[in-house]
Amino acid sequence: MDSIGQQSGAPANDIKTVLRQLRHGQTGCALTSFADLETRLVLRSDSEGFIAQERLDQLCQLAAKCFDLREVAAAALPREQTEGERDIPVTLVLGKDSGESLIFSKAHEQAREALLCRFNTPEGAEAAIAATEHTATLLSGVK
Amino acid sequence: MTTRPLPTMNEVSTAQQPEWQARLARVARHQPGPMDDTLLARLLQAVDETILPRRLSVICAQSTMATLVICHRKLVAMDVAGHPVHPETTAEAAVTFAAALGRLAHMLGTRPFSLRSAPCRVPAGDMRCASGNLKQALMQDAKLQEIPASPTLDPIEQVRQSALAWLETDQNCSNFVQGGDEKYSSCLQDSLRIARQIITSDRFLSDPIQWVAIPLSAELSLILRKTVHGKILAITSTETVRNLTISL
Repeated sequence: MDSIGQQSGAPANDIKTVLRQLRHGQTGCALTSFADLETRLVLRSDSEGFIAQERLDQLCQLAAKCFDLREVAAAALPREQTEGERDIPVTLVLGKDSGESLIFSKAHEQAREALLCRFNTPEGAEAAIAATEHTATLLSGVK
Repeated sequence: MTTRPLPTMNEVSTAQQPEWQARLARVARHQPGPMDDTLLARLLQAVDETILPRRLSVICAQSTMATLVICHRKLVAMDVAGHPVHPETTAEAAVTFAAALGRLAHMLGTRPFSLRSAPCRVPAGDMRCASGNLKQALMQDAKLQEIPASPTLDPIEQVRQSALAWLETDQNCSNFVQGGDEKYSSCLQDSLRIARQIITSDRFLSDPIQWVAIPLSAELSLILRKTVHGKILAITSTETVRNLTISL
């Protein structure tokens, strides 16, 4: 895990700090995590209580599948519909049966890392999209 | 279509016109905008004017929101968002159809719509309802109160109606029905393959995912939502998807 910091020169603790700041800055944010979608592992996280690593990795697998879905769906769109800026953040929003919401943000389409967050309410998630996209951009390329 | 004066005894007389228009306006006040009473007025007019059997479709955002079968100046069958409206008795037909028209007006809100008329067969059954009866049913205060100030529309209907195109499938993803713009068919069918794995298998912290909103381009988003019997996928404008996700 610490290898992220070593590879990039950004200490892993800094990622943890950024995640904590993001979580505390948002209403009803229960979890912020930073994940590698290729290895499907959560690298760092900050949460209200303890969340087992395997649960976090399940979350990452879900995020990876959702981004796969995006890729497949976008590729099958009529060509004239897919033109546009590609270097902008991409955020997926998910609703759970419990009323909680998840946000998965990538700094841009090709990014292999994503910010995965869980919110207690859909409104909290909607309000946090800009902040998660900003943080995803900030952490992009840390690896 | 003809425009002869309204002949039936159930028709509201000309003297009463301002009254029913005012009542329709009251129906409209429960809605977000002025399009709905135009819709109601146009549908009632279509009932008045149609003699040969016609299937009238209400189209919004390239989706059929409702169909009305009209014959001999009477409404004989209707469905809203693919759900047939079944009056229990002939006596109840006006009230049941009027309630469905009210629901339709709610669903449509302020969005633009168009009507498409096509010849059709008259369905079996003896439900017949003249526009006068429909107007009276719409005018009843009791019925007006049944239309909630802020309607909670079925989320699946909400998805279908705000979509440019949609695909609804059963639990096994073995059968599906599609609606809307055909140019998005392959996008929806390709998505179905991967969506199957996500909605049916993924769980996080022991409770499953109900819906996913995925931006595909600057203008378009994909909505994936669980339904009672399977799932629905929809291509929606990114503009409307944010509002939709809050209420999903």
